[in-house]
Amino acid sequence: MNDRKVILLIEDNSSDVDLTRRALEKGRIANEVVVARDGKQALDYLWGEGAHAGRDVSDLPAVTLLDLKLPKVPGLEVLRRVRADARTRRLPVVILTSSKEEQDLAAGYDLGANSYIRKPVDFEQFTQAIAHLGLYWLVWNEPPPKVKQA
Amino acid sequence: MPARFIKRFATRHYAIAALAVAAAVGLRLSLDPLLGAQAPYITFIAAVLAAARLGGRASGLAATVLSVLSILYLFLEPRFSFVVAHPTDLVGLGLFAVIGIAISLLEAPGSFSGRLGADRLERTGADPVGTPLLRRVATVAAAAVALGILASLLWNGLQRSTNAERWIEHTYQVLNAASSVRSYLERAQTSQRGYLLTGSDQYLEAYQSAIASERQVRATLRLLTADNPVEQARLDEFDQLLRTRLDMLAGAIELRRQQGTAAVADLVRANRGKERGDQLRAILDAVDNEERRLLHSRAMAASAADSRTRWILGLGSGSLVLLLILAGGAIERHIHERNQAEVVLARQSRLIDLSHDAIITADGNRVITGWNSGAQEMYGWAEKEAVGQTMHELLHTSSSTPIAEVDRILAREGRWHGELAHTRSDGRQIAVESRQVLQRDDAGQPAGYLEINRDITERKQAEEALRESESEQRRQREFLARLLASAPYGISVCKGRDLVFEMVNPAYQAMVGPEVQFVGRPYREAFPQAAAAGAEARLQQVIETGEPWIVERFGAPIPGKPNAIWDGQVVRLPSAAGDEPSILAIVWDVTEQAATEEALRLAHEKLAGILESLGDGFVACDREWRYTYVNAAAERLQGRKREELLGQDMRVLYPDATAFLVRYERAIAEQVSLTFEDYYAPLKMWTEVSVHPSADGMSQFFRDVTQRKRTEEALRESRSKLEAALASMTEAVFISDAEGRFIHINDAFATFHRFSTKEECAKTLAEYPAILDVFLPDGTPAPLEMWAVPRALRGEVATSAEYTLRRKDTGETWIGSYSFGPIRDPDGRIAGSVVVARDITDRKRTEEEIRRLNTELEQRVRDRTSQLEASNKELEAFAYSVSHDLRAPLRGIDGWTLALIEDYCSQCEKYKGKGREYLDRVRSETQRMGHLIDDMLQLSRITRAEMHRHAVDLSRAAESIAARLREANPQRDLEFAIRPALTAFGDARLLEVALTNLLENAVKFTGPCAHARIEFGTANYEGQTAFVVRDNGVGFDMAYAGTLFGAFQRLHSDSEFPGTGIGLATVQRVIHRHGGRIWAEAEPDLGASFYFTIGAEK
Repeated sequence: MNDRKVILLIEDNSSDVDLTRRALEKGRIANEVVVARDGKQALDYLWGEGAHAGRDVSDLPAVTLLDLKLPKVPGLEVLRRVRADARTRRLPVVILTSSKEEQDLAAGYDLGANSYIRKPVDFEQFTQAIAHLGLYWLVWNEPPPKVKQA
Repeated sequence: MPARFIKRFATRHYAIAALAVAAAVGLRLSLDPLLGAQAPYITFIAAVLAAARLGGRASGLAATVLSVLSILYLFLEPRFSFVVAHPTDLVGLGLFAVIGIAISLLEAPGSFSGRLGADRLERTGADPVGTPLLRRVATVAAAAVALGILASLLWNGLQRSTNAERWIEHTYQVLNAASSVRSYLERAQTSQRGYLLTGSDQYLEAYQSAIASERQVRATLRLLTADNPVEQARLDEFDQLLRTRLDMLAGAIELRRQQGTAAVADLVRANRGKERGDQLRAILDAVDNEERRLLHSRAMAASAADSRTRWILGLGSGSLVLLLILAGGAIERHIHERNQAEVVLARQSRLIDLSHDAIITADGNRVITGWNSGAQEMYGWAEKEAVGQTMHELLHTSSSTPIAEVDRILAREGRWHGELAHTRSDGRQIAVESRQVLQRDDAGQPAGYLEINRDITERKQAEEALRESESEQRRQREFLARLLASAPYGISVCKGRDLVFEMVNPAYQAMVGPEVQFVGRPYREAFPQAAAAGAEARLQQVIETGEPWIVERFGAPIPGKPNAIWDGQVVRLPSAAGDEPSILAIVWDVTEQAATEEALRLAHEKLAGILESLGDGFVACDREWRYTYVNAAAERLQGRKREELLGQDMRVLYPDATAFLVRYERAIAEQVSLTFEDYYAPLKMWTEVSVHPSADGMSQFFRDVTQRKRTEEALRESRSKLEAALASMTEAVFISDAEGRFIHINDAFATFHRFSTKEECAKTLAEYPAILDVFLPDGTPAPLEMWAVPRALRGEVATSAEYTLRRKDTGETWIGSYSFGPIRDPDGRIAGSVVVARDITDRKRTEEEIRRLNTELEQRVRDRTSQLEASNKELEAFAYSVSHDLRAPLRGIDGWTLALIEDYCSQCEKYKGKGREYLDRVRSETQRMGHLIDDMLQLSRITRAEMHRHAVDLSRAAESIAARLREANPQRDLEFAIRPALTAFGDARLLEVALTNLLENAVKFTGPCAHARIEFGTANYEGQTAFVVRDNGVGFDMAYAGTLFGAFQRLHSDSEFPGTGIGLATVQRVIHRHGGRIWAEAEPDLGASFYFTIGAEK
């Protein structure tokens, strides 16, 4: 199954990172959560570059939770690059953001987001949403096949 | 016509010639097999004869020419060519031509050409004597030439024949000689052989003699053939052979003589001599043959020459016979004519002597040759005295026609007659009527004159006397006739009681009409009506009494002129005793005069009628100022009856009308017509009077012009008002006539055109191009025809045409706004123009300023708009960060508060109760804040959202919202009454937001009601249709309605009805964005109604 798989959380707000972790825990999702604090870190992790040089790139996270408002490389840009790269183009990406702006929704889906979740203010709802999300992507969802190395 | 005839006849001649020649050609061609080249002329002689006989000379000549050509081409060797091989043929052809011409000339001009010849003579005026002479000479010459040619041809032919004979004889001689040579040779050989056999000397002698004869004959032969080199050559060869042969013969004889027969026998046996003998014979044979051939050809030539000679002889004698026949015929004719003439002459000469007329004959020089007894009697000379004298010298002929002219006429016409004066032997001159005839000899020269004269002296004298007396009478008659003819009056003479017309002159005839016959007819027949009207009786009275009748205005009903009127006088003429008396009438037509007088009378009456019917008063008065005529209008105007006025002195009747009387006096004194107007106070009347003085007083026309005067006054007043108005106008007003002259300008005109005074202004349009430059609104110079006045004069009408004007002198520029139009006379023709111009320079400047400000304003608006857009963008960015960033801490607060509750409150008793309650409050506030943010965002989004207007089905949208609400509030008893098919034109999403808010509100505020009823429909509110959402909820106090639609404004506590206070603000924003209006009506506990309109569909 996806037990070994990591969850990549791309989120700059540490409070949100912790709350997400807590929500995942509450939902009994024990997979490792890798946190990237900005878009650059995220891409480095995914492509095995920078601090993550040498990582097996073909080992994609089970799901990536992507905030849109990020330092350095904004969330939508991260999504665009991920989808543009052959290695990561099948990566499941769930946009997890406070924004409910239509333009963000449209752009997210246009760039190939697999899902779009607005973070509710009410933490109980938030927890619920994360729990469902984790369950769905880690349990029910079949991960994409590995991209063969050229 | 004659020319046509001539032409036709000429054509006919040539046709005859052509036909005859064609026949001859045909005949000769058919004879060709028989004759060959012989006798080519035979048929053509007949053709020329026939043509000359039938068509006359021209036909004969034409036939000759055609025949010569035909013969030359068709029948002379070489045939079918115009080339002549033998000179003889040329001579024959010439001979034929001469004969043809002779035949033609011998022939008279011919049955057709006789007239033709005469015509030609008349036309050319040639001497008639010349042609027969020429003809005669030509005939003789032709005959001589023909005979000469014939003789030479015959001579030539005979010569040839003789030559040919001689040659034949010569050939025979040659042949004989050759044959002699042959026989002598034979004989020599035979003799030689005889000697050889016998040895007898007898043979030897014969041999010797043969040799000698042969030599002689051969010499002759050589001589004969001297002209033939071939024969000579043969003879040379023959001589050589012969010599060897003779040598052989001589040798054999010598051998016999010396050695005997034996030796010779060998020789004979060897027969060498035979070979030579054969050769010699062959040569002689050749000579023979040649000569026989020559003989044959020479015989042929001789026969041809004979034949030709025979033909020439035949043709020549035939032609001569023909000529002789023709000549004989001509001579016969001539002799016959002469005999007849002599018989006539003899008969006439017997008569001559019997005549009383002088009959004189004279020769060509007018020497008298005959003198009859009549001549003796008439002139007094005896025949023997007169004969031999020259005619004119003897008789002293004189004539009104010159004698030379008489001779010319005689020479031309052959006869003359006229009057001559001759002197008798006793010296008395006599007048003679003379007839003269010219006789001509055969050569056409004058041969003699015949003169027959008659004494007409007495007759002449009688005639003279008669002529003189007649001429006197004629003069008198002519004078009278001229008098009568030229008299302007009609004059007639009638005789007897029956008044029979003896004479009328042309004027009289003209008065009555040319068709009326007068002379010999009685008066009553000529003028039946006038006679019946009493004219006849009156005329008879003149005849009887002798008293003249002065005719005055007598209506003489004349046939055709029933209204004629005559004046005149009738008198009796003195007459011889016993003769019936006559009357002379001198009359003239006064019809027109009478008509004029009548017309004049009628005109007078008419004038009086006119004067009476005049609207103007008319009076006439005499020198004493007394009225002599007053018309009806004058009665009316003066207020007095005609009877009161006539005969009265107007000075007495109107003593107070001084102003009028003074003028009348002046008019009379100066003898001028005057017209004036004045006011006559007693009658309270303005009068226009025109007074005309005349020799016997004066006449006046006058009329009441009070009304006109008043009208004029009013007009003057209105005009001065108008002028005052125009003067006070600030607009320049100028009125021009059709030629562009200004009839009226006002003061503003001067100001407008920058003149200091009105008087300074130029008064015609034509002067202005020198003063002003005028430009069209687009800045181009306006030519004069585009200026206002010319345009108006062309009929154009304008209300605000703009021109820019510039004074040429000062350069000042201003802008005028022009209104103009044409002035039309009552017929609709353009009589002038009126133009109103206003200086709009200032207004233009203001307009320019406003335009500039507007431009500035627009710029400012643009600036503002872009600023606004920039701030809008900022606002958007702000809203975005609010939605994103503001919520994150809230989520943190809520999350960690919950974490606190979950992780610690359950374990720590201390935090149960109050603590837990506080933490829950923190969370609820946090969540409220989240809602607030969300609602604000929505409000902001609605403000910013782009509008996409379409027709929106509001009813359906309300239904689906209602369904959603029912679902969300299952515990509530909700009744939605939604009116179907309500549509609005707007943005579907925004309208749905608005509707959702309103319906949610309705649901919310009906919360306390057991049965909530929510309506959506339309309502008429203050005259307009509005959508309405009505509920039966708690309602509100209208006192607070003003703050209802403000953001964050609430009329209920959060505890009563939770909410952010942004819903209605959002609704209002949506409605406003649609250009609509929203308002509410409510009462506490009685529900609320929210009305809204959506802007008009656009």
